[in-house]
Amino acid sequence: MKQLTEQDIAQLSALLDDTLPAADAAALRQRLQHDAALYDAFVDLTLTRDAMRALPVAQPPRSLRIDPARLTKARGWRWWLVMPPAGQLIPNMAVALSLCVCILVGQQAIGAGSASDILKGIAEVEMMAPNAVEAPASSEMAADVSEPASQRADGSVSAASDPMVQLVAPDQSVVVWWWAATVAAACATLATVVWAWRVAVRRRITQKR
Amino acid sequence: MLQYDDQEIVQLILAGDTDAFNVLVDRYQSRAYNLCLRMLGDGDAAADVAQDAFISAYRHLPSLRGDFRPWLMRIVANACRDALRSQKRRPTISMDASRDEDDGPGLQIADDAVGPEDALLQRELQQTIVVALQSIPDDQREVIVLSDIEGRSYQEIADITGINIGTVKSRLNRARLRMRELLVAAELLPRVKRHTSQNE
Repeated sequence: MKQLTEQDIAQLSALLDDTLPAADAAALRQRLQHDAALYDAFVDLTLTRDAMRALPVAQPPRSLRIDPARLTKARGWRWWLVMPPAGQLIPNMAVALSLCVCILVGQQAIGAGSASDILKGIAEVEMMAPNAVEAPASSEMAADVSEPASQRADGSVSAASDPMVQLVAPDQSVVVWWWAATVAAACATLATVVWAWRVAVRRRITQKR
Repeated sequence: MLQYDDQEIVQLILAGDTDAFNVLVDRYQSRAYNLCLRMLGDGDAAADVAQDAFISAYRHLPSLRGDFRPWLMRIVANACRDALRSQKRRPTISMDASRDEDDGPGLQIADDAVGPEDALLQRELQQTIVVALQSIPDDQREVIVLSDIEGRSYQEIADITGINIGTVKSRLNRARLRMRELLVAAELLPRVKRHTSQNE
């Protein structure tokens, strides 16, 4: 058997698949008429391809149908995204309720009062004692803040001397926590709405197609 | 439900009709099984891998974009590749593999009109092809099975295997050359040629 080059095999293969450009195909056919080895290779490749294509279609030894119970078990997390709107509502509501319960329980446990109390407290702290909530600009000011408010040189009223501020000031971390939870809940809700919208649009496009 | 097209059935499945998936299984189990059989060379393993591929397809159905069939065949091809890798890690000898091929319905002579000598020659050629296929590298076998047995275009093969068309062509060329060498070595192709020329 004459050794054919890779280029020869590539051309013969392309001719076999009818993907050779017309000019190249004509040139190759010319060569096939004069080159016996090339012709033999082409015949061999054609016979091999035809023999493979003639392999009968085998039937599976058993049905490949899958038990629906096994399918349900095989569901991945993505199914939640494509559930029907009514089905999606249930987990969404569950998540929203859980967040609300977490926030309320958290507030009660730390004793921060209601959300409106906290907001009112923040506003009053800012109005009455701006120095108490502003970060010190230098190390000297930082030292001032650590001293009792009543001993300050400028005589300004600090947050610690006011009973209302005393009630609110220790719960600053609760306020931050509350806001973080609210923002997280808002982001989660927004993300859910966007996902649901995307799925609905995709479904509409698929149905149109 | 049989009259529905693939996209309609997919929508039904996504809407919660789990049973509808078996309509797709019925529709494509033969293609999937044959691809696995030619890739793995073992009937039982092919059935297992094809079924696993269907389960995987079901699990990832929400991420389906485009047509179901090429997407499914890509999953089946991936499953075959995984199975081959797994076989190499834990090599086992299937005592039933060759018997399955011999006795299975796939290798029964399709055309009763041919004479006994032709039928014998055809059967021998088919058996040699099945054996030869298992002796070529996995990546080349995948491409030649998809091209020359399944009859897929270069583009379809590139989509299924995830390689570019240039690589598809080069793998196909090498696979065809190797198959030719194996069949010539088995003295089957010259016999076919002589037989053809005698008939003419």
